[in-house]
Amino acid sequence: MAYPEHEHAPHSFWTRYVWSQDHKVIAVQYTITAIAVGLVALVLSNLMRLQIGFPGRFAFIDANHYYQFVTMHGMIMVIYLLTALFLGGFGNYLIPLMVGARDMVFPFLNMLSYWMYLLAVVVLMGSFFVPGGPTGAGWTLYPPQAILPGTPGSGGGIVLMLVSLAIFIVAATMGGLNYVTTVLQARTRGMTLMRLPLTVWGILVATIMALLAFPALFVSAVMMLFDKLLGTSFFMPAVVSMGQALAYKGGSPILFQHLFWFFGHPEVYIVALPAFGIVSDLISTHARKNIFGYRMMVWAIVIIGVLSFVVWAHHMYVSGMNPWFGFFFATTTLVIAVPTAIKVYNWLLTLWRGDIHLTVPMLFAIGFVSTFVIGGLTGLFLGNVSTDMPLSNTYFVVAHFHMVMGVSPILAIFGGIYHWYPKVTGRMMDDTLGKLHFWVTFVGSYAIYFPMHYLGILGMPRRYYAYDNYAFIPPSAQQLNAFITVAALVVGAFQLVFLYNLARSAFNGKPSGSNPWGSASLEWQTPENPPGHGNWGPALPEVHRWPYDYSVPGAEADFLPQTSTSPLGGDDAKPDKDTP
Amino acid sequence: MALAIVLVALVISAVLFHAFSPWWYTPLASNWALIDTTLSITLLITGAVFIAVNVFIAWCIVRFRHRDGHRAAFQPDNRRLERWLIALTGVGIAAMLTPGLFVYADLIRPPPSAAVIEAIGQQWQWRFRLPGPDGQLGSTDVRFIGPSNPFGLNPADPRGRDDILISEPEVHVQVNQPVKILLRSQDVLHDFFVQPFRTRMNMVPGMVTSFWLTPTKTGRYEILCAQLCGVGHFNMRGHVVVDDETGYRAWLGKQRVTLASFTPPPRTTSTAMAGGSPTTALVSQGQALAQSKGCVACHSPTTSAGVGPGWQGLYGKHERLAGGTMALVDEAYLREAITVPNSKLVEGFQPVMPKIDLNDQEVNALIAYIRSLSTKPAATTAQQ
Amino acid sequence: MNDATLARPPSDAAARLGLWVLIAVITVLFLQVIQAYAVRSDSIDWQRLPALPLLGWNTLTLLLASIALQAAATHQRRRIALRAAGLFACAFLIGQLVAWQQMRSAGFLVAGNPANSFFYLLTGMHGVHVLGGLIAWGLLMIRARQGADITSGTRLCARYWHFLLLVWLLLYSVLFLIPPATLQVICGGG
Ligand code: HEM
Ligand SMILES: [Cu+2]
Ligand SMILES: [Cu+2]
Repeated sequence: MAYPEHEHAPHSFWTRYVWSQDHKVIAVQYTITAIAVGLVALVLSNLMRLQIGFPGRFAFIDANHYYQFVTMHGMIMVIYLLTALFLGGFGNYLIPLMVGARDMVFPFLNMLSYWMYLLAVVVLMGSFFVPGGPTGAGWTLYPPQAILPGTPGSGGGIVLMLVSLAIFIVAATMGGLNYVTTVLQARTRGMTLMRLPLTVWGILVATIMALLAFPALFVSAVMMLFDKLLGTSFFMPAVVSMGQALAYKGGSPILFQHLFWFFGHPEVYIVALPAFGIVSDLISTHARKNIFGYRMMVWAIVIIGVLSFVVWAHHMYVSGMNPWFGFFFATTTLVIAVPTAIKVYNWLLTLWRGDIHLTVPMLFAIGFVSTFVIGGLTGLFLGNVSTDMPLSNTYFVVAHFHMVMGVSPILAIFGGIYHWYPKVTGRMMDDTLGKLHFWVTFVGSYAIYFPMHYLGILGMPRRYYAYDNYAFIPPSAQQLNAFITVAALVVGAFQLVFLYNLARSAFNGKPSGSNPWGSASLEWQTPENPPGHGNWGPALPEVHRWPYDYSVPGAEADFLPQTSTSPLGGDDAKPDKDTP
Repeated sequence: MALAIVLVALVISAVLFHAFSPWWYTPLASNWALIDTTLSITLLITGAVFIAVNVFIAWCIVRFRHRDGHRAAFQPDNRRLERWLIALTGVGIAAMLTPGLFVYADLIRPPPSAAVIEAIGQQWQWRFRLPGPDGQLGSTDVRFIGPSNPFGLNPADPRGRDDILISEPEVHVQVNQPVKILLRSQDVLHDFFVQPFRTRMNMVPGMVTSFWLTPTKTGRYEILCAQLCGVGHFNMRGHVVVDDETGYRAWLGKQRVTLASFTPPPRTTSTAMAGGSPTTALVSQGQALAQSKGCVACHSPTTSAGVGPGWQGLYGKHERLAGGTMALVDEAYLREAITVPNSKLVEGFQPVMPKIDLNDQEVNALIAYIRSLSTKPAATTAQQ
Repeated sequence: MNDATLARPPSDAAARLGLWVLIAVITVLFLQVIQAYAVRSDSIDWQRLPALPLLGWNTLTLLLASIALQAAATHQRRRIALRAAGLFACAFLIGQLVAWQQMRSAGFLVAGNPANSFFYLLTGMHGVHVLGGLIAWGLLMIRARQGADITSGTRLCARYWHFLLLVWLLLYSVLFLIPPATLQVICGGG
């Protein structure tokens, strides 16, 4: 095939780095933007922890600010950092390289997607500067509270939040169209679906989920905007707010919750599935061993994706919905634990009898497994409807979701960045700084969140600005909170090490060579490193095997790249045969 | 290697933390011991998995660490092993789910003998309603809510005429008597959460939700709001007192306010308190009002600001208002601030203060109380 | 290895798949609102809207736009059919605006009854998607003016229009034909 894109290779600085349609550049733009807002969210979380750990000591954090910080922190982390970074960052960079395409199939749409995302971020940040400040309704934005005056930022703040979300969803849809179509249509010769790396599988299924789940959030955002700005009563019942009867009538706050969680639960897996994929690839590469049970892993990803659309109301056990739903949703929720457990077993079995190199990406990958397991296990408490009763809306929930969708995906992201950094820049990140970053983040996260479960079991409710004079909370809980705060500050501060490493290594890092980790998957087989425009030079690569041919018996090197034509390993090794 | 050690250390410290943690459920005070049991089963199973996974990883890291000349085994799959693991997981899941669902079946089926009480949430206070002698609660609607009918009782419903209205944030229930708690909210979502009872439910404006329990231990328990309800959420406090039968009867006998007798207390003319130092009776009335009307949700009796300014040292101070002007906090200022909320806004605060129903005498009591919180009552020295 | 993924020119097949994915997303979007409609229509304050005669005419224009595009996609006399399609689509949008106006002057305001709110919301959302289609149509016209081959583009445009027509028919039946009780049964209630 000819190499038509080449003529369009960009020349000026602007077309190359700003208005770029190259998936690699867009990926970096997404990543940098996401990390930048993520830093804002991190600072907000540390401010909240200051108030909880040392109440009243920092007078500028009053209750209004606290609730605004909680809300912006949660929303930024979940949507604007994690979703954007996994799909817009990793998805954009890796999909074309891993499937052997020259770019996304709709490069212009891809560029538009980034600029829409940036616009969403700008609108969101703008809400810090409107009168009344950003919304303090909690990241769940439950009405009626979100748009009534007892909540900070119930004027411009909530409006900008909803508008920003709507823009984000448009951006995510543009990106998503690209990722799905590229994976399904632009794979190179020989790249069958069952030869895709699990990273691509994770991102593909997560993208499909995003495409189907985000409309629910879009609809709820638009309907809430109607309620706020036009006075409709979609979600607003008749209320007497602050002594005043308002004109709303007959709306259903629970309807909003259904819509929100129909998006919100899949969102957890939109973040988790790419992390699953990335971690699978990291573990396999750095343990020099094929991923155990590849087919099973793919099916687990697909089944989790499907099931996660029928568990949403486990967030609503005590919402006042029809109580009979509880049986159904508790059952589906616990059933989803089975495919999830399979994934964990297969990671463990990949390590087993491997040749484990404890590189920095591998440290993060193993850290992911450990933290994901604890978060998954505590999920069983909250999914099982009766055990959720005493725990719902306590710090147990905060600890649970931070472990499962805060810490563990972030560790996967870090692992992924350390792993693919040489691909993007041609240089290695500093190993010592990387290890320092890992140890503090990993151990620190345990120090923050492990004890937090116990505060939840004690009954400390979440989203509390202060806990003065509650008789059932012993003074020792305050000391524990102070400890947690210190740990959070340390973890927060050490992210600077990562940023420093990230920035410095781009210029001073050790040159990496073309395949520093000895990885078998296609993205490391480009003719240039970092890959040039069009990725593959004059001819597209041809794929002959799955991406996990590590330590194949008889082969000379301990890996066979996907492009290798060696008769060893390959698809014949993969079929499901019982091995002794 | 270090990672193996750290993983094992994490497991050991987790187990130790669990063993020595002083933070654990509050002692159970209701019939829901089965919830605690299910929780313990879940903890046992998940704890075992947590330990097993981390120890297994640590062992792999040591046993299969990279050594020169060593190669990984090539093993794409092992169907038999995977099937075993799935089956085992299934059994574990079933062991947690089954008791959970049985408990839940009970949780949503209140016994017919249950007494009925109603809790009403409002930003940021609790109120309660008990059926009168007819044993029935009258119907309600938000549109009936007004100064003389803050509970929104339907005036046309005869069942509601004898309902007992409790405007303080404290309610009593009788020990060993199943009780079904109906929940209502007049503004936003709230949640009625008493940790020692284990069960709970959201309060949703526009509908009536409920849950039930049998209190099993006498005592005074804190009610928390556990659903974010705005800026005063963390301070929406109440109490539920579990009494024995005689205690409960005695308490019930003292609750006499019904819709008919609710009419706000007659308006007394402004007392002669100008200049004179406030009497202690007035001050303590004010203090009680600050509690019962929910002022304390936002105003602390110290200098520290909550949702609204703290009250200590407020009287006599010069406040900077939004827009930059200064105002002396005197009696007139306080009266206006209380009776016409948000007319003047102190810099740095949101206009969120509700209009609270108070007669002149009650306003005076509140002012007296706020005044008493400033050390030098007559001081007008400007302090920032 | 039988390999269906040989290096195919990405453009045409990819664009077709992309459109299908887009159609799936938009379908989910409308189904979500209809689900919300079903739940909300269960409340006592619900008052159904009368169907405006004008909406019938609007349906017709949308149908004509669809037919014209189909003609453009399958026949050689592309230019005229394409123009006609754009015209009909514009007529539809204007008709919808007039319908809003008529509803308003008949006293059915957005915030009046939830049924009104849903009417404005659903027709508005649909209108925005028609507008999006018109932009695509405009780009197509520009490409045609430049003499580019627009065969596959026209086909995609036609497909999108048929889809919009189907969505509109669905919305019309939900708003005016299917009784709320039936809808609640279909959507599983709330
Ligand atoms: C050092 C890292 C972090 C710290 C110290 C931290 C701390 C906190 C704190 C103190 C709260 C408020 C608890 C409350 O008052 O209820 C919170 C809420 C939250 N955090 Fe984090 N967090 C961190 C990272 C993350 C990450 C990576 C995510 C990504 C998923 C995340 C997602 C959330 C969400 C969704 C909420 C709930 C917001 C709400 O209640 O509306 N956090 N976090
Ligand atoms: Cu969920
Ligand atoms: Cu609350």
